[in-house]
Amino acid sequence: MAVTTVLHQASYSWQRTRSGTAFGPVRSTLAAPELQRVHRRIEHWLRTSPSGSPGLSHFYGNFDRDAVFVRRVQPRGGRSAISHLLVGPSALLTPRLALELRDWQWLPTQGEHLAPLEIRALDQYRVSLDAEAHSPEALARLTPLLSHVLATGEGVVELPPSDYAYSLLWGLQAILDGLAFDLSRRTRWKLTFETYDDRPALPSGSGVFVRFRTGAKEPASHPVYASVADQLVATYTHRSAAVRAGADPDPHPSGAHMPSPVPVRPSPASVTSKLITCPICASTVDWADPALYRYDPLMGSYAELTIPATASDTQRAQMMRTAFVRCVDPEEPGSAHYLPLAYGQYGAPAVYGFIGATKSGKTHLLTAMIGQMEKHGLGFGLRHRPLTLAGHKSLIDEQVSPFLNKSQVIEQTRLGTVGLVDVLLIRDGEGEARPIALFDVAGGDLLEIEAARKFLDVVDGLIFVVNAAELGQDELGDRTFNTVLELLEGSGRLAEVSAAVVLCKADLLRFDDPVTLWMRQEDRVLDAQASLNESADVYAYLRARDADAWTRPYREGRKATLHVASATGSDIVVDKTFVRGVRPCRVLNPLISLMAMTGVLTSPEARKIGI
Amino acid sequence: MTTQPGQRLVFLDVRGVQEEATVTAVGEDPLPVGSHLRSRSLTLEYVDGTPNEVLHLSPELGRSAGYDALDNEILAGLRLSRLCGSYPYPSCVSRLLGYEAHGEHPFALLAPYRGEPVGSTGGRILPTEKSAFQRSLLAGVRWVSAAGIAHRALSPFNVHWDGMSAQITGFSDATIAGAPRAVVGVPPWQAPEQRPGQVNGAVTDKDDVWAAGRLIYYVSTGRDLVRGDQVCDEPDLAHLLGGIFGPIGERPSVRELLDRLNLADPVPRLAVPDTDLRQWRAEFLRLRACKHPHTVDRDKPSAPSGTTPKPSEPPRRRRRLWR
Repeated sequence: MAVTTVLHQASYSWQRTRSGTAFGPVRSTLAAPELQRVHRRIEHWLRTSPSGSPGLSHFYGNFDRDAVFVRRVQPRGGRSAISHLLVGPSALLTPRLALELRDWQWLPTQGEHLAPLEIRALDQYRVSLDAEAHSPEALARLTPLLSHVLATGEGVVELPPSDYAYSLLWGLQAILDGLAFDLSRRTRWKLTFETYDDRPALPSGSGVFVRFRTGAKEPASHPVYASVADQLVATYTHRSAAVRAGADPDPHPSGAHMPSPVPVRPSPASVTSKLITCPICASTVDWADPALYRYDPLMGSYAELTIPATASDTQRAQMMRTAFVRCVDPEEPGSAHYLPLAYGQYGAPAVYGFIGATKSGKTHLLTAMIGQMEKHGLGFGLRHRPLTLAGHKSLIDEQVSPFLNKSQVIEQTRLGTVGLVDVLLIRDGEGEARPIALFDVAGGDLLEIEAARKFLDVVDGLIFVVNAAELGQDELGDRTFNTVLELLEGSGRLAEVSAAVVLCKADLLRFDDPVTLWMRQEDRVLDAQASLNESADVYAYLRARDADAWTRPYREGRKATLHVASATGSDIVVDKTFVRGVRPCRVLNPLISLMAMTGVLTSPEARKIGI
Repeated sequence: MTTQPGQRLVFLDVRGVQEEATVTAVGEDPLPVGSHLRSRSLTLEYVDGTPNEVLHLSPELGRSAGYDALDNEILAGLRLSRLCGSYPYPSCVSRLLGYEAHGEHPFALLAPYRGEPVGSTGGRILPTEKSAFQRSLLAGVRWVSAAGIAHRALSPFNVHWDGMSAQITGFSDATIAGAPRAVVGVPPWQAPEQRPGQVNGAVTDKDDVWAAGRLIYYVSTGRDLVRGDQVCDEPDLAHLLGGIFGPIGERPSVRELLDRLNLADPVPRLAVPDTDLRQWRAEFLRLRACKHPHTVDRDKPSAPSGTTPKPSEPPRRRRRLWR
């Protein structure tokens, strides 16, 4: 697969030709054959009818692996029509990005020419529609729209032109992208849309196509799918981290109001809410005034925590320090899990997962990381502390200490689990403290594990563990890598998730160039140039060993680094004990790189890591 | 684990080929005090019946420093062997014959050292032998630097002399050039950049030059070097050792020292850089440039196509997918 983080653009207007006038491309960063291909696919949507709306409208389409976003205006009638196109891989140019860029008038130039756009350069123009999408008016319209989308499957759903078009599309894409799943196809629906049209005709296409067309009728909720749509919209309102109650007053109070079904409207109390996404089930939990729980080590369970009104400030602080917040996965109402209260009391949490096949060494790597952090700290002004004191102590006593002090082998991650291992609070100098949650992901077939899918919807960074002992044994690489990358690509999150590829058990390769050099370098280093050199060397080494498949996270991810590390220092085990002792080597650099790539570390040097 | 007669050893040779041999005789060969390795003289009989005298190095039991020391010996031996390729192996450095690095009881097999440590002769050799000592020691240092490693602990205890030429042995503190410097070696043979409180930067090919110069002074004069300017009092050495004991930035390379002795580079060819790795590093950089174009200089922006598609072609008829 070609790797790119670049979007192409093209500009269309009316031109004189030998045979008259025609609406065609005047500038483009695409090569001619490619532009020709795109042109054929989206020609119908390049403009509305000549007598159509003079205002701004957009089309977003998805063709095979490419997406096209068209911005159209015709301020003085049909002959004044101008269209601008963004073209790129659908994993990059997602419906969400398109909606975020709705107000941007693109076409920055290099000299006289158009320039391809690095996806990062668009960050400053991305404007969320979360608040508008959660307005009562938008939510009321969203349920009937969603019910028809669910009923239609892949097909066209038409609505009359609406001031809520963008808000509705935003809410719809959020639900289709994160909550709804097409079981028959084992995939998520791909949303495409046109925010205004005045022509009844429509060329063929695929995916869910939502179109705001003059003459279309306002839909009532679908009789069969209304209930499901209600539930999804209700879940959506809870999950969003940007719900703001009473965002904007309705600029068109006389507009048609759909009957308001179930959607949970933001209550006045939620004006001050702080919504945190649960890293375990991806639910949104309100952290503003949650019910508190405490862990009872004797009972081995959680119990509700009531802080007496007579408690002193000190007593209250002590109880709060060890308090938990309960979260229930709406898809598994019987099960509950608990997050430390402190998880939602600092900056935005970062969620990291360790990916690799069974016996790849990821559990040992994760344990060695925590052990080295405990022993040496993270270095260069970084401070860390555990957020779950009891859980951390238990981890140290039961896993880290036997591993480091007694050289005992850690049992493999249980199959079928995505396990939260530890939650740490990281503070970079005097900057904002941010929690990081470390997850050990089982090495089984992730396709069968729904928990893994949910996890990938919330993860910020992944550590891909390459087993040095497996190099050259399977040209297809680690199946778990491929599965995770495909799931991320399918959900449109591939570009958002940073990756650190770790050549683990590198002690087995310690006499090979360039592994020798990197095994002898220092750990706990934040040096962009050294990180780049190591990444290039490890990439080259893997390619030279015909381990191309293991470099896929670098090739396809936007921000990525490669590392060598050894969690144990040697691989000889007798009676479940590493007989040569456990000596971790360079295990913290991957985690430090991931923290840099995901914005937990914010120094200028940190911002250069992974690019 | 104690090596005993009758024991079968399985190991890799320097090309990575597995070998097997049986121990037929064992003798003690103590290494200097402070070493983390234990050495024994072994007589091996290979599967084809060939006998061979070897030096068997293994880590002291239960000491992780011993594993590191053995790794360093193996690393140095492998890199020197790879550098030599099909050329005759240089006699001025010890030679790795085989190793077992990953097992429960790792070991290295070396060709027996030549002669005795030059320190065992009280640091004195015949005046007529000084020149041969200088030439062969510097040739050995040159081979080491060409292999991309630094010995870091040259001293009268690990540089051997057999009356004809010197041989550098004892690579248990060796490391690869580019690794961070550390406190290594023992006074007075410790270069300034390896002393406590002065460690800084990464290992270079000049790190061994200081100790080699000091050793040449010691063997040639029989005296310890107390001040760097003492070399000026020795007309025979002043030219050769000039600049060695100053700041590392001004320290001559071993090739410059060989030049001062009017000797050609003993390394017939430099190790050929791994073209495979170079090729894939270039691919990495291309990928990076594609993902992050702002990381490379792009003097020519993508020009618009001069042959744009014909506008407004009639739409193609295709099967309607939306129902």
